[in-house]
Amino acid sequence: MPSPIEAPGGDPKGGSKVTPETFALALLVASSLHIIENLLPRIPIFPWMRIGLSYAVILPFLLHFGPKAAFALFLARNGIAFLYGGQPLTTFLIGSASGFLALFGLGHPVAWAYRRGWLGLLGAGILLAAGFNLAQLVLVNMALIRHSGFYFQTGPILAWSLLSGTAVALLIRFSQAELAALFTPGAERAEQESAGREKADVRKFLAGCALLAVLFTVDAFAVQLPVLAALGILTRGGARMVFLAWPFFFYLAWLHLFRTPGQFLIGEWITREGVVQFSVHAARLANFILLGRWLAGHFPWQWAGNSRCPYLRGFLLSLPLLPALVESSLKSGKEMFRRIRAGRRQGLLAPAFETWRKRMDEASAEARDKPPER
Amino acid sequence: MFRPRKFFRPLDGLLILLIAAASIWTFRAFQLTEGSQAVIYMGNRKFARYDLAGPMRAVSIPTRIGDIGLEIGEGSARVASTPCPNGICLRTGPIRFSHSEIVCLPARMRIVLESAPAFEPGASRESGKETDAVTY
Repeated sequence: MPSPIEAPGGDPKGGSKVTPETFALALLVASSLHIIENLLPRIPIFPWMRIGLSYAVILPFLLHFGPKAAFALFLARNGIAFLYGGQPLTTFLIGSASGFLALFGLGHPVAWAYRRGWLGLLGAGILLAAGFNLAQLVLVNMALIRHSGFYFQTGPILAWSLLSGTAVALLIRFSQAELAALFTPGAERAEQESAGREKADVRKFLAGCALLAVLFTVDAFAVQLPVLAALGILTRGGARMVFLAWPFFFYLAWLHLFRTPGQFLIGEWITREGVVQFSVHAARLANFILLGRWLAGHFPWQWAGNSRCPYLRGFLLSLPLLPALVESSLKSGKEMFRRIRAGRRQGLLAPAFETWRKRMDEASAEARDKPPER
Repeated sequence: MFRPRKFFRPLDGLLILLIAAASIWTFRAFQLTEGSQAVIYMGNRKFARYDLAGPMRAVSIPTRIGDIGLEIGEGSARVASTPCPNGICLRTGPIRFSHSEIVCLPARMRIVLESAPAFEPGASRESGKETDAVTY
């Protein structure tokens, strides 16, 4: 019998077989794993060094359906973290772009080598982790830090990729039954897509996107500071969001405030030019974070309502279940770690899959029983 | 169900070795490429520092005898113009090695090049120790 993560019938292009139900279940489990991971402590100097637990679903998706489906899943997971989890826009943009580069750049060769038996799960996990982490490092530096010294992290990040890729491969190895069930088509569920969402003003959203582009390209104080003041007033909880992004500011201070050459201003550490560089970059970063929060609240959901794309329909299918995301994630996370401590290696992802299958069934039954609106 | 033989393949081992080697190499590479810089003193006080890396650029330093023009970049630093009648600093020419100095006594200005020990000329990359002197 073939592995659950191989394309059915040996068809390398299994992309057309993705159903909204499969996508929704995979997305909910991946989002849960993402939340569980966020609760784990991070390495202070290297906050983006994470295991990437959700790759335990994304990697099998890549090997089974191909890079397009895997990236759709990855993007949707990021979207949920951004829209519902309060993740900064910078993290969303950089994470999504890194995922795009890693999954489309390495996805086909990895899936091809795996199908031919040249690469095992371990190699696929490590290669993808290394690709993603390197892409992220380059993008963070290009977009935010803009200092070649930042690449000192290349060595630690590659070493970390070995560990995180191995952890993901083991998680997949010990969740074979759950992944096999994921790729078995289930019954069509009644769709509760975008129910109860208000229509947003498209013009406002597009204006916000244009402002984002301006902030990215223009470094001048005269642009960044007034926008920062305006966004500070408009965005609720903005100060907290900016505070949570402290690792980025730490790097900006380290590389710009303390290392920019020029005339000394404070002691023998901080130069006048360093203060200017740090201030401009910090204001721009704060603007990205605050504007991202505002854009999340003004996303025009009505755009997605009539699509027949299985990824978008799967995403919309999962939306009504998202209010229970944190509670379900905590519950399944505790169960997962309890199993690890008890030495029960098989079925590590079973609690997450069981929880979300049950909730999807309940939502489907509820939607069927609901009388049609007139 | 899942086929355990696909968890590890020989190519995985090669991949792990390659990534581990790349990781170690970048650790070492960044250790060796610590940038050298020109530190400018006014009397006993550090006044400014500039990276030697990057294209050649002009820098003006205000001193007690007037502005002294420096050219810094492409791995070296030199005095390009000075109001000092002696012009010793001007004739010193460009300096590029660690601990090299340009001194202008009338202006009480001193330019010293600094860099990380492993990057210094004459340093042994394996041991990280610098050679003190060479005699014949």
